[in-house]
Amino acid sequence: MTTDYEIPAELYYATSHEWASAAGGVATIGITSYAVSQMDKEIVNVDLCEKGKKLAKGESFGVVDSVKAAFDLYMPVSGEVISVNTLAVGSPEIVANSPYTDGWLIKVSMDNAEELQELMRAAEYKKMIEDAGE
Amino acid sequence: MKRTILHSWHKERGAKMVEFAGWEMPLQYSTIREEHINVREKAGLFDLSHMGRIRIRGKDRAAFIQQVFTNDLTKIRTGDVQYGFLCNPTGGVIDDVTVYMADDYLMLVVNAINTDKAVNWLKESVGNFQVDIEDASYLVLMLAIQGPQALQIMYDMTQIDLSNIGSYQFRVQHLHRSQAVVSRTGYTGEDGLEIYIASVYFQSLWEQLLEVGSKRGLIPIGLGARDTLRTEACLPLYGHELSEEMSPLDAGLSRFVQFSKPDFIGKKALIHSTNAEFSKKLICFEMTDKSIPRPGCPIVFGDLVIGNVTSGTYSPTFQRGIGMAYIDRLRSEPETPIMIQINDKPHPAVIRKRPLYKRRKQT
Repeated sequence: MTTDYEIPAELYYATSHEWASAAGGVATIGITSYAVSQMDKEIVNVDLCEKGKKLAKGESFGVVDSVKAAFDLYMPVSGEVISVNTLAVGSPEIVANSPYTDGWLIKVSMDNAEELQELMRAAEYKKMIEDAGE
Repeated sequence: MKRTILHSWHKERGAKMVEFAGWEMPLQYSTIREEHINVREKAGLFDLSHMGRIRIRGKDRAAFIQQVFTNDLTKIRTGDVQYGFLCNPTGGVIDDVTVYMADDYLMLVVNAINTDKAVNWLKESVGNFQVDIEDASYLVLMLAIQGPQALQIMYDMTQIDLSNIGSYQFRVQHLHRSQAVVSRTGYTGEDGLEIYIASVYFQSLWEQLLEVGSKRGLIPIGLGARDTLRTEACLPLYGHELSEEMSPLDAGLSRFVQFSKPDFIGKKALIHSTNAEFSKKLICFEMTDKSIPRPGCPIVFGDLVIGNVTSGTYSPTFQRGIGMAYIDRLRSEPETPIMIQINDKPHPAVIRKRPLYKRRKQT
């Protein structure tokens, strides 16, 4: 079943199922297609922190809701939130449909780009969700 | 974990299974939203085998149940179903139940989570009454067919008109090679039936209903949509709106408590509580922003917590967050704006009149 999940090779992954990609000192952050499937592919609300907020790695930057439950979002890296995807907030289904592209959540100006190296790469993340089983 | 007879059927159908009250049950087959809307617009089929079915026989059965039940059995006759509560001596709810009055027995339908507790409570309370209490949950299984097409689908299958079974009435009906109890009851806010049939016939009845009903849009429905449907209809769920710490009066369900009958367990405590001003009242509400309330979220008034959400979900019908909550009686009037703390931020909501969802009467 896990082979169904798209896990792009170029991204970094957190154990709490956020992904990060980096360009310069800025990380784009979203949730993985595995997280979306755990939310039964029905995302009905996206609630994100405000632009300008400074958060440490592991702190909550918002919540996404499925019909049934809320899922906390955790910072995979530390930094200042410089952009919030208002499209995703306005149309939460975009996150379910395109979690790696139009459904990104926030952009963060990283305090320390080295933190990316503490995250998983695709192969490791794939193994983690396979081990978690169906 | 306990499994219903349909366990492998659910899995083959691709259901996502979850643990509920010690049972492995289908949460959803497709999506909660799709299943929910299907029940509102067409029809849905629910495996309710996990619920408890307790049969009471013996000459004192009516007098006995009168003694442990808050509603009044003298107001119903054979073929009627009555909703009410088993209360403890302090007026707290042991379980909310429906009582089916048949010619020679009573059947109590109880919550899955409370089946053992209810059976034990009945046995402990039996005193000198001449009754036989039997947990028949494994002998007689239960399904519900709900939605505007439900009765038509039953007619397609049986050529029997069941529409003359009144609301909260039942009939013993020959159905699918066996006698079955068919009642005009449900837990969705829609018209429909609940059907009780011997376990050996259960799966084939289930499959035949889906086969016949599919052309009218009948699909199986999981517990996820069952919960969103009952929340829209503001029907209480044990463990959320009801508990041993709350009385039926706190929950605004006093019409199912009959003080006019001689005595029942909990009556004294409940009478005293009617003299006092309850501090909290059960209300339903609708969010006015996009946030989704969840059970346990506090209702705040400035720095004060004035209530708590007991059920909260996204509503597929209204396409926003809805829920039920216990709130300070002084701020419980419909149309009162309230603030609910969700993800550490207050979000605006409005108290609404119960129920949030009411079906249109069939013409």
